[in-house]
Amino acid sequence: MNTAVASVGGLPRMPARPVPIAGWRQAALTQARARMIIGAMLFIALIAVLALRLVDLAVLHEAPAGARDPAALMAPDRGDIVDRNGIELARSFEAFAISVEPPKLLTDRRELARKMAAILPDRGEAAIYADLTANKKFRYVARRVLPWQAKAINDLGDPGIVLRREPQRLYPGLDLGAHTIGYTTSGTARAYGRSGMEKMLDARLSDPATRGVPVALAMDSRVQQALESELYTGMTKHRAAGAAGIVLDVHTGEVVAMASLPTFNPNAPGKLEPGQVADSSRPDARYNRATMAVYELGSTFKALTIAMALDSGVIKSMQQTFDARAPIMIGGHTIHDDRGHELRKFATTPEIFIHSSNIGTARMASALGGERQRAYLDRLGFFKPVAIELPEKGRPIYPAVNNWGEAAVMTVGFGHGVSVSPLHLATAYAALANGGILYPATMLKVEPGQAVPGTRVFSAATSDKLRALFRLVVTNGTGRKANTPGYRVGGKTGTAEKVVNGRYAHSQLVSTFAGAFPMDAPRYVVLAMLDEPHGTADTGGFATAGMVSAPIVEKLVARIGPLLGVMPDENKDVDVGGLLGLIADKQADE
Amino acid sequence: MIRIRTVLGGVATMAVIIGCYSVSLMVSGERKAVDDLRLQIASDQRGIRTLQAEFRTRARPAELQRWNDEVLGLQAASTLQFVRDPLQLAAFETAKPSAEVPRYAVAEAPKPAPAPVTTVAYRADADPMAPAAVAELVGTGEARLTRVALR
Repeated sequence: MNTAVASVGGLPRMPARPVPIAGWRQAALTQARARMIIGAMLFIALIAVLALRLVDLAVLHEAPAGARDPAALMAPDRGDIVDRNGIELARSFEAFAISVEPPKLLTDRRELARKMAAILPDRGEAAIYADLTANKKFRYVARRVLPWQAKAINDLGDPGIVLRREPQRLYPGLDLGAHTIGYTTSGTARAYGRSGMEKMLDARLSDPATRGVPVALAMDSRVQQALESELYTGMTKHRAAGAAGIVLDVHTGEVVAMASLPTFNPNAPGKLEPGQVADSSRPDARYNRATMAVYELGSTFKALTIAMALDSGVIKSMQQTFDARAPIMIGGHTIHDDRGHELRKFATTPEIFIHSSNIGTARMASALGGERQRAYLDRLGFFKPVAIELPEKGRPIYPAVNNWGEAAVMTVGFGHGVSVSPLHLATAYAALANGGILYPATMLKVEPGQAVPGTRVFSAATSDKLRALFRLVVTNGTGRKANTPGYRVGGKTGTAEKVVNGRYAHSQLVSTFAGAFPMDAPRYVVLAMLDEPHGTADTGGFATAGMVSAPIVEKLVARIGPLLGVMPDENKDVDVGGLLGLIADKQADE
Repeated sequence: MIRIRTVLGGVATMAVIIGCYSVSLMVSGERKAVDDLRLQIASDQRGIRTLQAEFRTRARPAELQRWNDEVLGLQAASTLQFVRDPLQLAAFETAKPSAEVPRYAVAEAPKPAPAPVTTVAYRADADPMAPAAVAELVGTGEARLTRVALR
């Protein structure tokens, strides 16, 4: 196509082009219409997309994802605590709480209080009326109510009543193992552990990262029940002020069961159990006698003194005798044997042990010396609170070093002057029975094969000799009533007078049997202690450990032995024949 | 020609967009179904936990012991009730062995006779709580228990 080129004023001119005016307008109109259609279609498409998206959001994603996260729903509000077999001991659940907003109440408050009190008998009409008429915006009327109670309250229909769901802790076993498990109190954000393992494990149980995995305790709930049951039977029979009991694995230090009576219901801590009577002169039921209380545990200490003397070479053979002819006068005190148990001769170690001679043991302790005695007690952990995870631990009481003279050495030797918790004694007895290694007690389950660090306190030879002596006490000594047939129980009785206002109270005893079974290959330490027991007709009025605590162990071992995999066998036993030859009087009185 | 192509292109694009979005919606719907299922599982698990807690509370050791003390009266097994080996078990055999049939010191359980099996016809219109129906159910339950016992 040819185009004409012209210039105006020296500027080059655009090439001339023929422009069809009518066709151009038509084309422009068509193009504009097409663009408009495309624009409209895009707009419709956009609206369609938005509408679909709205449907998507409204129908398919009606709630924010985070609020209904399945993983979050599956994790409990607070981690579970289970026993060594996976049985639930503590679990969280959502309970109903009933609250009121007094300004919004419409019905007559007196009438409403009456109706609510009929549904919530624990509160009482007056207390509820006080809540309903309080000059507050919000008041809790009752927490942790039953579902039917929540429904009945809701059916009252007053808009001022508010029902809430809040996490609560449930202890299905009620008072089973209460002192070990502990309890929680509800806070605004979460439940807080207040005692026992609930307090010790508080961070772990409430941490979202770890609360999904239950914490397994060493406790076996079946053994725990047997221990509590037998202790309770013994406590009520002998009208004791309290009782404590322990079952401890001698090879791992696991506390398979631990009980302190009277006990409490962790679902309602601080409230009296049915049948319990408030007594301000006694400690609260939450007081753990097994770990918090410290007692002079009496003759059970003699086993430790004999072990120290054997281990350090003070006792070179079992035939070696000690002067038990007459009481010892020292430091203004007289050390004598219990009436009816006087040996009045040079006695061998087995005789001193099965007759529980204070004089003979004092002679051994004297020969051992205060320095070595303190060193052993220190290695056994008797000068500090017991090694256990529980926060409730008592501090032992013992003479000051500068007051640890000959008199203290002798009296500590037979269990006077040193006060420790029953759990201290149980861990020491485990060391005596297991070959001489002290394992710290633990409330947590030790997995099979898991190594447990221990400290050697006594030699294996010393432990062997003590096992035979323990068995001898049960076959021929003061602990005969603990002899469960077939289970080869061994141990030592200890009856101590309580110290009241700085003086020994002759009528207030602490009667303890500590031992282990089966003594030919010990697996478990058992300890039963009654606090202030009273004699009965069948005990001849005596409240000594051999009469009141040993029978508890006898029944307990028969129940827990099979549960713990210890089978009775009357064809097996510890050979005590050699020791029997060293005893003039083969049967000790109880 | 260009205009038609543009319009067709727009329609095609919109169809593709809507098609893709429908797929997205379907995926979203499936995801929601999965989420609902997970929520249901979580809810059921919570329900199971609650029921377990209730069961543990009702069957707590102290309650079982109370039942034993008041009703069953079971005692801890004595030493003689534990059998260490088959020979000890065989020693409990008190019947004199027959002269013709040699007997060995092996514990043998007698073969039980086959128990009669009750067959119950299903009746859709039967009142499940009517005495006859209950009797049939009991009969069925006994038969089931008998079969289980014989396994």
